[in-house]
Amino acid sequence: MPLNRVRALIAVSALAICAPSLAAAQGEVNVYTYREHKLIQPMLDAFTKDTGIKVNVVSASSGLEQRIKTEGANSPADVLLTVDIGRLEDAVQAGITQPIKSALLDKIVPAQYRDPEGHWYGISMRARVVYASKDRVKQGNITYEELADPKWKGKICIRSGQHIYNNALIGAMIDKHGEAKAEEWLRGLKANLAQKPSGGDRETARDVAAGKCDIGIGNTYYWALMKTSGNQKDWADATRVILPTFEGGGTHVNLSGVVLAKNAPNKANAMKLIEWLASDEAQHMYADINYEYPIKDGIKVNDIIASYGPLKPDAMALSKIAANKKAAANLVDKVGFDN
Amino acid sequence: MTTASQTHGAPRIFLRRSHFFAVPFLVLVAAIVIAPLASLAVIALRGDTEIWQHLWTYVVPNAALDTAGLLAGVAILTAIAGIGTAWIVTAHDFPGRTSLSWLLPLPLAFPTYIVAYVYVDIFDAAGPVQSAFRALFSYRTAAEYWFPSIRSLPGAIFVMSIVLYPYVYLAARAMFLTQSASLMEVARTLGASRLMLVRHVALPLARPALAVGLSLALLEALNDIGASEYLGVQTLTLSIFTTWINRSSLPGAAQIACMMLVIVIALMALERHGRRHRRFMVSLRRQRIVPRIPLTGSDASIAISF
Repeated sequence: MPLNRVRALIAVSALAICAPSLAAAQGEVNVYTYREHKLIQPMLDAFTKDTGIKVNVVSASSGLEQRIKTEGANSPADVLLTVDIGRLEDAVQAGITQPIKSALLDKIVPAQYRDPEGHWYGISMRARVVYASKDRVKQGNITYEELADPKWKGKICIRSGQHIYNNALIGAMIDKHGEAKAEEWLRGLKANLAQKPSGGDRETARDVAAGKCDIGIGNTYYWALMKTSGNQKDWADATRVILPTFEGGGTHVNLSGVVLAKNAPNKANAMKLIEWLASDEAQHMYADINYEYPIKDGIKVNDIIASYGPLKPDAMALSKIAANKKAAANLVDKVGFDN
Repeated sequence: MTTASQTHGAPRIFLRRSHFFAVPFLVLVAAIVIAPLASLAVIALRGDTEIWQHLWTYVVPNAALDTAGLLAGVAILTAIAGIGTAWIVTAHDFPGRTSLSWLLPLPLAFPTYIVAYVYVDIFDAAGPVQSAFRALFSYRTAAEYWFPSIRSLPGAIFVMSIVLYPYVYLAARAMFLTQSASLMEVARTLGASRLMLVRHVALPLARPALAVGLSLALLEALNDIGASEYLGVQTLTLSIFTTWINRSSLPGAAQIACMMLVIVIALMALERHGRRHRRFMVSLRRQRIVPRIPLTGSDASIAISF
């Protein structure tokens, strides 16, 4: 390679390496996110329109906490948007967060949906519910505990027990009944499965529709997404959503949430974005584009979601579920739930 | 032959005075290549015995078994499909042979998990096959009959073999094309049947190619994660992911990864072993293409459908 071309190459690479630090100029905020592009982009566009602050997005399906940790003090990350309490807690454990000090958010977000020390805040909610066959399931109510009842033997479908959505449900069960009882419950649920855990929540609904099983466990927004989809509508139409509750408690909910990066280079803009996500405008978008439950009181839930009936979330603080993450994962291994 | 000239030529070029940067450059390249492996070892050593004990008791045995089953199944299916198709398109002539010979490697272009999605769509309880099955036999639900599940270890073996057999096909076809036609002709003049040609001439000649193709296919099967997860097969690779993300233990994940390196090394050893004492040299001057056996009628249709 001629020397001048080598020099050009070096210059270009240097530029590419330095580019992120150049982006730390005024009027920007860097968002790392696990959320699907089509869900999150309309919201970030609306934020830019409202505030004039440009949003740079880094999107991935896993490993963002590790990435921010590895980037260390030079990390361009300001905000991490993620789903599931387990991941929010992972970010805190990785030491990549700092407390979000916002009186506004403390007023909007109920205490059970934020970190006691302010390291993470829930922005919207989803519930882990039952997709029941319209033809074959007559009962209108169900408890999570009942899923282990032998009357459901060979009738339940669910995705991997190691998936974060199920991990949180099992973590909640541990908090409710203790580890020994939760293990017994998980063994009972395992014994009731129609097939090995696999696929995702949509496949679960599909299997119920095809009659492979009578009830499936899935998240609230998936059912709405199927209901409004061209080729998956049949799966939703064959099932109805039952909002289960814990015995003597409410429905298990999980969060989509936000953390402020420890070394956020655009902290002021990051705080503007985080508070904006709790605004009426953003909360309406969470409800109608993502089919999630708004975290803010008084925002209308989407009609499809409302058709499930009124949600009575369990009173458990989500930080308690997060604390059980490892214990829940170990239980899944111990009972061989996925084997 | 070409590799020989390169290995002899390379040191001379790098030792020339104008290339005195070569050594640091090569060290740098080597360091870049080794860095992930070294960091893996370092991370693995950070682990505590508690997580390793848990993994060893509850995770690794099942994952190792699933992985072994997957590799064995993929090895058998890709060998049969890869060698079979390669032999058919090189040693026989039938309508559509030329199109087939370039269509056959195409599955390699599809990401495995996409193929997994497609086959699940087709063969799952709600898919067209089982829907038709239910309609045909008047079953109301998928729970009323037994049907092989695509979301299973055999399903994963099938899906991965469909995607990965071209590794074996390409290597075997190259070998069949370039190996000396005279060996075949001699065998034929001595009265060898088609089957004997395959067993005693073509297959032994193809062994090195089979070793290369198979080891590549198996390495690919080993590193798959998307399809395994979707099909519910708890492979070691998937366990690395779940250990990192769900069990929140990067050291634990690194320890499983180190264990898998042993399998990778074993596969490479298997590949070398498969090629032992078999360096078939083809004299370019005298090379002739294997004469193709024309196939007609039912033979031709069987070949195409295979």
